[in-house]
Amino acid sequence: MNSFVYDVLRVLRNRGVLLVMLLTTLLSFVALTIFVAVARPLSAFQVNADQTIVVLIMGMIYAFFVPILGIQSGYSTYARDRATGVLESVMVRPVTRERIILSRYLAVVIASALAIAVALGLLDLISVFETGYALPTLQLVGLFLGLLVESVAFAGLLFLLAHLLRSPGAIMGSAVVVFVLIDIVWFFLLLFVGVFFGGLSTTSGLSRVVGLEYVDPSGFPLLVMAFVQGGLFGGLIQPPGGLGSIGISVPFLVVAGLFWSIVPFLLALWLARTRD
Amino acid sequence: MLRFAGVSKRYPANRWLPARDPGGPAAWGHREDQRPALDGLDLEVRNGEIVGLVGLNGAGKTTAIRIAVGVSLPTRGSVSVDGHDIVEEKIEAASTLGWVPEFPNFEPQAGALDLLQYFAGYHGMAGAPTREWCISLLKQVGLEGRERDRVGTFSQGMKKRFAMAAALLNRPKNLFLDELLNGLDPQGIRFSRNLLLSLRQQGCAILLSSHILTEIEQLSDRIAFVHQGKLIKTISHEELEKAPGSRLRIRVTSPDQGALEYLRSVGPTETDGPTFVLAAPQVDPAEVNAQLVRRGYRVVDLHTEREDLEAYFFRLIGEDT
Repeated sequence: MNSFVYDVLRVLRNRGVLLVMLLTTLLSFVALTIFVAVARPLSAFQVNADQTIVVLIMGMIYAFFVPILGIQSGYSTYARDRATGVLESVMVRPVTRERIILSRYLAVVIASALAIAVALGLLDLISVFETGYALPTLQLVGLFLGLLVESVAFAGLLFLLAHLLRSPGAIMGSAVVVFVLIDIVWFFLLLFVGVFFGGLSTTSGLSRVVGLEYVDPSGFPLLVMAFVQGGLFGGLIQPPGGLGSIGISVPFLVVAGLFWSIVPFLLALWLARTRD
Repeated sequence: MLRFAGVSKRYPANRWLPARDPGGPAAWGHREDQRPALDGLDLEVRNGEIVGLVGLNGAGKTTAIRIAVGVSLPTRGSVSVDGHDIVEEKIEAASTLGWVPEFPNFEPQAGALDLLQYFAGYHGMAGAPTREWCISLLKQVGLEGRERDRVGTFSQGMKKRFAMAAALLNRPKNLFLDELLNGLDPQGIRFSRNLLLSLRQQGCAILLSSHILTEIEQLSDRIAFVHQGKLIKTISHEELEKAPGSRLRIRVTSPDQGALEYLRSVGPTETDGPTFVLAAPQVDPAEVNAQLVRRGYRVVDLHTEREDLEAYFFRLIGEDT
């Protein structure tokens, strides 16, 4: 079997990766059921608005769990193999260190893309089942790209940690700390900053929140969704000067997406070339 | 052919920093007092030759092998495999080498045959012939019937056998064996010994590290002694025969003062019951025999009693056995 295909399948067969995707889909289903049960009798939303809210809720759930997907796939594909010495059985083959790390990173990217695509496809089916409507394609594509960047960024951080720490326990422990800081603590920090700098209704407060979201890879899907939905939080918050005035624009999103997809990995690649 | 040229390895005191060239300028954060794991190793292993690497724990044997197979980077110097630098020309160099590490470590969830085929992919091997070759390798190393078993379920000895199969996958011309016999049962040891001799006959260059000095002594054409990161001596079998600790043990039918005086004129001689022990490693046994016969003695037994490798090694590093 081709070595690269083997690496991709290894990620997809990983029980941790499967568990995360299953759990995320299950939670999405529960959240969607609750949403439909609460919102429908109130007739609070029109169909389009309904769908936007559905994507937002699902996006937030996915954005919360996808880092675990990235951590698990990065750990099982590269970090654990490097820390336990399993990678040496490959390094002795006629292949460069750069090729090994690049091939495994691409395997993570492809496996993450497949896993997220399948999960979003299921989400779309759940939406049809619960609300009778398919989700808007553009919003799903935006969510897909945002989640892929998020997953890959966390996988890249794991690749990097594998070159800074020696034991699997230390790597996984640090990954959990990073996850809690970035995914949970950071969320409360940006809410605090937003309120402290004039609330979420002012350009000043919103631009600071958006700035902090750019610094946080788990905030990236929410920024992409804000862009495709035309406003923050499912379009409910519209900045006075438009999204561009608070920094949500194509160039910024592209740069941030590329940064989070590539920079942690490039640092890991540099360390792989220069250090044992 | 393998060649180590001034290979040094120094692990940084601060592991967050890259290792520093021992001959290079000092950098912030580096401690200067750290002893290198390997210090200017120069060694050559020719085709069709087995070189044994001998040293205490921490002498640098495993470090040398890890650098040579490309899993560890040298701080200074280079290793070439069939003329290709293992760092600069990794693909060419690694295509002709095989490595059995001291503690083989493979992906535990993978099936034995799947994993061998995965490794084969890196050598550009694929398809049904490769699958057959992998199955035959597993059979050769005694893992027949375990092709579908997960490597993680293997015992240490079975992992060693699997590592041998993985090392032979690309029909290597250069083989690095780190404590090959550790963890193997008598059958595995015999298989490994025969394999090494057969590969040597086929022109393979083999670097063998082991703590079992009798094996090194039996199998190696030359023995390289490493101590505290430095190569302190390389010795051939012939040289070991004539090492200062070697002695000539002689028995004649009627030992007397005349025989003793003659032998003492050749070198320091002691008596051990009816036997004379001549501590003169450079002496020609045939000449001693001829002289004794000429003097009217009947020589019943005359043989060289060689200093064993262990004693030689400890004498070399200046430690008592």
